[in-house]
Amino acid sequence: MYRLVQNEVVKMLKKKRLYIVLGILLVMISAFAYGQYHSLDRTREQLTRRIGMTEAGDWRKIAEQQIIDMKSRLDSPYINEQNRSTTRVRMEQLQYYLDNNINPVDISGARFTTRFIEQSIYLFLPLLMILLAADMVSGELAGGTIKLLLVRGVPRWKVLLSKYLALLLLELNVVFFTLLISVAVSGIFFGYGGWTEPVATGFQVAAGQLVTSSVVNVPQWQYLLMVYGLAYFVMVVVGTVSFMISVLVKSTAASIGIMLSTLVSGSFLNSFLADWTLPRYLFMVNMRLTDYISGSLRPIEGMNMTFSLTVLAVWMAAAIVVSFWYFSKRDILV
Amino acid sequence: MPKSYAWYGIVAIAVVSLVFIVFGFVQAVKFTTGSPAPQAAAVSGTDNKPVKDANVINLLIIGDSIAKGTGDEKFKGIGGYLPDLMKSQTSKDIAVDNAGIDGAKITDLLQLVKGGRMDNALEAADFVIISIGGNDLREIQSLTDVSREAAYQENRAAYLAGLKEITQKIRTLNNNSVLIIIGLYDPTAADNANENARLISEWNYQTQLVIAGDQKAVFIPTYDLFKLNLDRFMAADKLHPNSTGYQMISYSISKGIESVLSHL
Amino acid sequence: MVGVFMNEPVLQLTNIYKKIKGKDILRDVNLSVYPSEIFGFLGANGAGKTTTIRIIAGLIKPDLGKVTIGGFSLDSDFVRAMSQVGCIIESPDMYKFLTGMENLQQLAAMSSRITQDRIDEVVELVGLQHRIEDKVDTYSLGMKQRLGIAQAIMGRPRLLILDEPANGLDPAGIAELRQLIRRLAYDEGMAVFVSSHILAEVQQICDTVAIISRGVILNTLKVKEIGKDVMVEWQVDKPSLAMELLKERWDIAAEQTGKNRVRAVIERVMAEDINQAFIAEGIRLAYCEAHGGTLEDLFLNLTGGDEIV
Repeated sequence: MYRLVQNEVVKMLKKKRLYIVLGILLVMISAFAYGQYHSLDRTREQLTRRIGMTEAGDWRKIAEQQIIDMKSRLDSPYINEQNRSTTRVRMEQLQYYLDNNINPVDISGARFTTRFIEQSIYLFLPLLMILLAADMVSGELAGGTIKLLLVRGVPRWKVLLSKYLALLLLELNVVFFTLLISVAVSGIFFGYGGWTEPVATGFQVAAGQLVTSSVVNVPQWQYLLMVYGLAYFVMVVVGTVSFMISVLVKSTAASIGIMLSTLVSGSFLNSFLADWTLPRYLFMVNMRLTDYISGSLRPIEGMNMTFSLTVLAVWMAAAIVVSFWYFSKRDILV
Repeated sequence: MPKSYAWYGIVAIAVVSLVFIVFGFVQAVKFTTGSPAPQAAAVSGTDNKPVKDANVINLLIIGDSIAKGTGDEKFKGIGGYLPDLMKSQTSKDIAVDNAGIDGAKITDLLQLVKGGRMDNALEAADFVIISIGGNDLREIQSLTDVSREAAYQENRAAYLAGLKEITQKIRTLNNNSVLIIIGLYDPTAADNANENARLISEWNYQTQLVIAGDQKAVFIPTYDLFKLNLDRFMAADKLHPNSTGYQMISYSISKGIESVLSHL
Repeated sequence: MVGVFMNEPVLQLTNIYKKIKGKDILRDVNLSVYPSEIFGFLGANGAGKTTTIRIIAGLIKPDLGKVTIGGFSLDSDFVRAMSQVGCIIESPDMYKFLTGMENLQQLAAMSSRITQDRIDEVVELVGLQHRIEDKVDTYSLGMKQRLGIAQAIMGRPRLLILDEPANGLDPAGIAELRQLIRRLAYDEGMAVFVSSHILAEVQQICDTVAIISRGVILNTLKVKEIGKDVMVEWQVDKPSLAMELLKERWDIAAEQTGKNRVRAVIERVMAEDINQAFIAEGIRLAYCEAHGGTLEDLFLNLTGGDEIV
């Protein structure tokens, strides 16, 4: 199995597929960083408005004032648990900025990286996975090389498994390089700091409401790893489904086309989630896992982290079963 | 067979990546699942339940820093001056409950009122004095370009909706209390006077409309009161009223509720 | 090698039936191939040759019937059965973006026995030493064919399956291939299964031939025995006497096809005796013509000029 997986990975490398994906990553991240950098002024202004500072004001004084405000708010007997947690969290964040002399409106390299992965988790990164996975099997069918693999006295399931494992390995690499390139490129524009910056998390969804009573701050690096872990999980699910399509369909173009349409339809279906119960069981609308940890979602009754993870896991398992079953049974006529 | 260095690199990176991923994933799941800390949402109950004593008039002041009394060098604010003024109209004791919070915006006040913990206080109050909206308006005043008008409309609409909800909530708890809403003044000295005047006046006007239909609600205007008296009524931070300013506001309020007081 | 007796077939097909998309492709196909035997599989395009080969290689599962390789059932013992097989199926599709050597190395890595030395040996055997480090997409058809043969034989299989191996080879290449196959079969004891539609090649190289038409095996026979019988036509002055002679002496039924013409099917080796006998009996023999006796004739006869189904 080791050698089989090695074969598959080497093939992918020789096809330059991985390098192309990394190249696209580099271009996209650079473009994104550059764009952020340019709109920094506008971003600053928006953030300033939101926090309630005036542009000309000294952010330190304002931050100090806000901390005092929040303290007294926390002391008020009328505050409920939700507000207590969010207020306390926000207070800690402001305190951090003050202590480290960071203007909260600025973007740090670390924050950019986190934001980039959060943004790309549901469309851009899956796209890259599809590029990797879509022709793993259909390419061999179209090219006829599948015959070579299957007449060697290696059982079919082993052949398919080696391809799947190779895919998982490559996906691990892609996510890694996404992180690396993000940090490297964003560092050029925004500096290499911000790793200990506090980020709020601990949001939960109960009965269709956003529950903020357990909200705490975690350091940016920890938050980033959380995002990273979730991102990989989503990638694996998308990759597995894509792999399955590759097994079922002979043409690589069709394989890519099907997956693309599926992903895009996910964006549409997002708007129906509140009213129509069916779409939430589809994997493509459950891909925004990072929304759950950042608390930036519109809570839908019944959809929380556990639900989404379960839906994704079920789809992944089903895709694996279908792939292996079909591949073992089918007549190879190419 | 040639060993490809790229292969070893790929495997090594994959292993490292996997370690990080597992760590991060477990953390993420931990933070988003499990039972949330108990919310005392619907439960009423604070330690200081205002007693509905027939011999006490309950004065509840809620809202932002002006409600709280920030800027008063004597540290009294409305809650300090108003009871003194009311004493001449009634023999009852006056109890003051002040829940003003610096920097509070409409959403903050709304959350507070809807949160449930204030229900008892609202139920027992005879007069509810509300000062809110200043921070929401100030948010957009620093804008100077075209986006300002749109932002203003947005903020105002949100504020009015919130205010309406607050008054409705209060009314469901207490039909008899008198609601007193304090209007906004212009703390700045005539820079873009016309523009500011328009913004603030329209804001105040819309506020009045919200409570117009409520027979037991009054709007206490401050704009014209302060217009010519900025140097006399404003505190050192040029934003909040000073002692004199607060006394003026309290005086206006006391005049507005005179007849109600005498019947209590 | 598990219990190899020279009498046990390396490949055995029993009662193979296969329908594809509702059409009968193979009906009751039976055949056996023995060690050191070069077995030819002959049929028109569409007769079912490639389907049969795919079934032997495990790429297609038969609806009914069994495939046994080296004593192991392909169905229940796939790994042990297929480990003894090397094959080329239709066109030798290799990975175009890899070099010839990389292709071979990858395939070799899939089974544990093949060493780099063996790969080098095989490369020399098929004559690709000079181009083996080039990417396959620069290869001509003939080179790809050789590479295909290389990957088929590098595992020293007991059964070698070649689907139209001469395809794309020039005459020199075909001659080399013939030699190679003979060596593999006779010197190394491989059972070789060759499918082709080129009759001359099959007749030249194979020991046994099976003729398949429309999914049914019409005949399986030893090549040595083809051409045993010929149809001969004599021009004689005494036709009736000739016919009598044929009947009395050799029990051959002859027919008169013209004024002085007699025709009969005889064994090729008897021709001299018969001619001599005619002359001895005083029959004047003008000439005698022989027809048939090639595989081509046999094939066309059997298949009745097959159309592609």
